Amino acid sequence: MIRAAPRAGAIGEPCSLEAGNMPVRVLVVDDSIFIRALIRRQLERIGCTVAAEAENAAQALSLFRTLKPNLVTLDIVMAESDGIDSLSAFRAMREEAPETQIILMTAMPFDESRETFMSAGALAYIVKPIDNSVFEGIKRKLAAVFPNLGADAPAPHAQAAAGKTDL
Amino acid sequence: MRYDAVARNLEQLMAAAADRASYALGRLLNAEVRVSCCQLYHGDWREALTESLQGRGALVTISQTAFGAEPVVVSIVIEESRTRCMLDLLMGRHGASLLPFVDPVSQNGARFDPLEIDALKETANIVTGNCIAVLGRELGLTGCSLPSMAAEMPLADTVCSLLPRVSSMCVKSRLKASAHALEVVLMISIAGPADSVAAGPAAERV
Repeated sequence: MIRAAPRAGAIGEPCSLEAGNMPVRVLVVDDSIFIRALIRRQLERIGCTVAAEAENAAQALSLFRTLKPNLVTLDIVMAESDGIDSLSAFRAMREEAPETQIILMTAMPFDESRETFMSAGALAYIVKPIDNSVFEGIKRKLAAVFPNLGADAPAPHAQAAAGKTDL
Repeated sequence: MRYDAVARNLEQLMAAAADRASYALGRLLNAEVRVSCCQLYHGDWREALTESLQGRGALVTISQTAFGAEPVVVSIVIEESRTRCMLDLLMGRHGASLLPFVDPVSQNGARFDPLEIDALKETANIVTGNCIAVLGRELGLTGCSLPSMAAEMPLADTVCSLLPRVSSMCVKSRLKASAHALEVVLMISIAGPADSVAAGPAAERV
């Protein structure tokens, strides 16, 4: 199921993340609608726009090629679809649009998996659960990548908490 | 793995995994969650576990198996009557709703809609993942099954579903969110070799 993304709501603080003069457009990929809703809410809170959601890697790759997002949040453990798993989708995205940032999210942290994705250019490897502190860390990461961002300075407690999430 | 020789280290490792699981569950629920009781079972502990779960209402069990040198089964067990509170916390129904309301439908005899089943399974997945973050390196775990959920099973079947093998070591922890009168039982079971069956069921506090 491919979900059309409604217009991003103004949830939380008003600051926004922008790529150039445009908001950071995000493709959210996770097989759990519950987690997609959590991620959407957090992304909108830090000022990103969710362009679309996908529930498997094949849908993600298709939407990636169509929408050309600035950022992808990609769940690592999803059922394979059309012979495409998260790792192959990740590699295809990196090859086709290396300027697009990809954040891996997983409930199942394995050292080998982390090394594989980070050495291949992932922006971050997040171990669930996700909450405000995790996305404050993501906001800082994005601010470093997109030079025209209006990101605020991080709160010290957010820095400490983000340190526990393999950012 | 020499089951008897490393049991004490495993016990400490599993208690650490339970601590991390409670931390993860607390972040998911946005509530303080504490490990209130951590109990070690070893040998053929089905009878002792059955006894400890008796008297509770209908149970919902969500289990995953992590693969390695020895399989590890991580399960969360919740009284069905408590799942509503947990779902409300997960979905922000005490405040701004995270997900649209869907009329409950009957599934496996329990009244959960598909979104609620997804939320419960994903919660178990995250709790299990945080256990594996502690256990994985020590036990050489390399992968994990998808979560499977069961509701309204007979107690004996529930207990069997928590066992990787008859001979297992298990730490049962109670994760409590006291402010919300919510309790989740976390079971972490590690299979022992077939020839290491203890003389009988045994339990001790750790």
